[in-house]
Amino acid sequence: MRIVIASTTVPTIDGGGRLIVRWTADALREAGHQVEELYLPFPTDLRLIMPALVGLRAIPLGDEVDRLVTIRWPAHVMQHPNKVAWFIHHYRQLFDLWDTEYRGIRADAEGVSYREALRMADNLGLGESRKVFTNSDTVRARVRKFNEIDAETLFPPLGGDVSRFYTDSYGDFVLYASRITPIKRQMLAVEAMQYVTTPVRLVLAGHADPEQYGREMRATVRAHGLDERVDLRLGWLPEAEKIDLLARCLAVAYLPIDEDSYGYPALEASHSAKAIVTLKDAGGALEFVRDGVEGFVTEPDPRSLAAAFDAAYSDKKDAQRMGEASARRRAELNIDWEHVVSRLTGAGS
Amino acid sequence: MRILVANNAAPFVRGGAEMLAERLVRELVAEGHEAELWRLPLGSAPDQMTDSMIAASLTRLEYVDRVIGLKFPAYLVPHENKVIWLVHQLRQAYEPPPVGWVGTASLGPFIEAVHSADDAAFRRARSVYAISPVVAERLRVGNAVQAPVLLTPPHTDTAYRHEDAEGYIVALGRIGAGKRQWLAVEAMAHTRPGFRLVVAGPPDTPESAAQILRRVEQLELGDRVEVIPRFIDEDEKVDLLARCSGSVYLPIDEDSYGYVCYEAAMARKPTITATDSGGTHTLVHHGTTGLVVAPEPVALADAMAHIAANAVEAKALGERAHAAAVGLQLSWERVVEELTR
Repeated sequence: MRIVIASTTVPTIDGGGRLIVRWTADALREAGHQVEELYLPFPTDLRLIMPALVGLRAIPLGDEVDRLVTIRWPAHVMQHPNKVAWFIHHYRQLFDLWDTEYRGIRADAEGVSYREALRMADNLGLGESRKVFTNSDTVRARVRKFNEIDAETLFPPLGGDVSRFYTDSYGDFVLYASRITPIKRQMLAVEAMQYVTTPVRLVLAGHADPEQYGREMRATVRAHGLDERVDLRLGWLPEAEKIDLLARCLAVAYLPIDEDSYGYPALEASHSAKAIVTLKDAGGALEFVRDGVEGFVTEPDPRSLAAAFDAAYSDKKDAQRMGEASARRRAELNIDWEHVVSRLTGAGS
Repeated sequence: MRILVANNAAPFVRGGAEMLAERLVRELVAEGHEAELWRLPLGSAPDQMTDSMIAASLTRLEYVDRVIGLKFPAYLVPHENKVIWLVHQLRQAYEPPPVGWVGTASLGPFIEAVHSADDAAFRRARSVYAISPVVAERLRVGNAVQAPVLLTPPHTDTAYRHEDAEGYIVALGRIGAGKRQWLAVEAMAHTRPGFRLVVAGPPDTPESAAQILRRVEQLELGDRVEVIPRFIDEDEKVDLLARCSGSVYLPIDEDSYGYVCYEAAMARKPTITATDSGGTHTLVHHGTTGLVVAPEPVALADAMAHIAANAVEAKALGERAHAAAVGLQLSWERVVEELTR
């Protein structure tokens, strides 16, 4: 099949959002399809979005395309008679974040009108798709709530050659490898380290965003006298170093606030057969991790988190058992490219 | 600087302009810029192209300090700091048939819209460069724009070789009506045996390859014309060029100097081109670096036979072609400097 995968980007800003597109394109090519990737610039400012939506919808794909797969919002407003949407999230401030402190848009006549207009645009783009997939049950529930459309969850696997991941040992440190930023709550992990009673250590690795946050984190580590226990590796983490840390760690921590999907760190842990420590309000990660099965799901406070770190250290056999369960969890949830390819190319045709 | 390179796209088709755009992005990144490529589908019929114009005009950019526009309609995107390095206009809307559409009354408004959108984009651009003298001339005639020429450096860093001629003329490039490989095939029917023609390149459509193959059969030229209707990699190309007597390249009013001419020159081989081939005349001067003949089979047959039969003269033409190609002083450094100025 000749497939166009279309997604939007914020030029020169948004890096990570492209991975799922590139990996999906690679998987489709591997399966013998001809694939064209289109990355279309799209603004974030609400007032620029309206004309840009019309522009996106006008793009002519021509007569050579058998199927359109759309990924990042609002690529699904593009037109093709054989369109399949893999929906990642809404314009969040107007929908799932509307009733939270993260809204950032006034609920005045203008804000409400935008909300209504974008709801209509989403209903149109998703409604005319042959099939709507979401990247998590969380987003599927939102699509049902805001758009009254039934979607199917299609979990995005990790791309590239996953045989790069391996398991070496269950060491004495918990690893949290991710962008270091407030919504990922690395600070909570640092604070938890004040309360651990075992010799467990914590390795935090990633690029600080904003950089100031990295400096604050370092100051907190020092203030609590945790220099010996917390290994803070600020800056971009080379892939080989990450794989090595994953192979040797005791367990993996992943502590975002109400994330849309399970997050690639959880999958990396799974590919390294490591238990995942997460929190009850982490969002999508809870679709992957069940407490006591693939890892620990604790209350979002330092003491509860410390107890989970200690438990993993005290019973490494149990940590290993949960790690092995996390490796099996992918198959249970159909997290593999063969499944993705078959759903994206099969549905509705 | 944060730079967006704006080009058009045709799903599943890749040609020289795509490689040029990708190379430009790499060169910008190498100079320390954050650069990205945007490929906007153009469509094929006028109504689709109207949609594509709308798409370009309504695209809104954030976090972009400069747009470098290469092709219609992507360069219509509104931006206060836009530089256009024009590869070509939408030629169907500017030129008479066969390049232009065969006129119908309903096409009028569309053609008018293309012209007025172009005029506005060129006027608002910070600067407009043409990739060749031919394109600069079209800008002058079509849009009354005086654009300096900034030639496109090659998009690959291929090391070309030169070997003794082995008695064939090579016709490289995409196989299709626009490049007129069929004319070289027709010409072969007017020549005596003693040399061969090798046509090699990816066909535009399966039909364009079939047409050429059919004609070779009809003319009973099977033992003198070899058709390789597929993409040929750099090694194959270098090899085909190294051992040929000369290259024949017959596009209709080509936009640029023609990579095919440049590649032959870098292999120190002469090129035979046509009087109506446009940009190829930048490198091919009749009797100096190659032969320029009327686009008809008999004239072409004489030229091909002449190059094949006179190895010493062909070698001298090839040497001068090489000097001319080097003399263009093609440099990505200079292109990046101009486009980011």
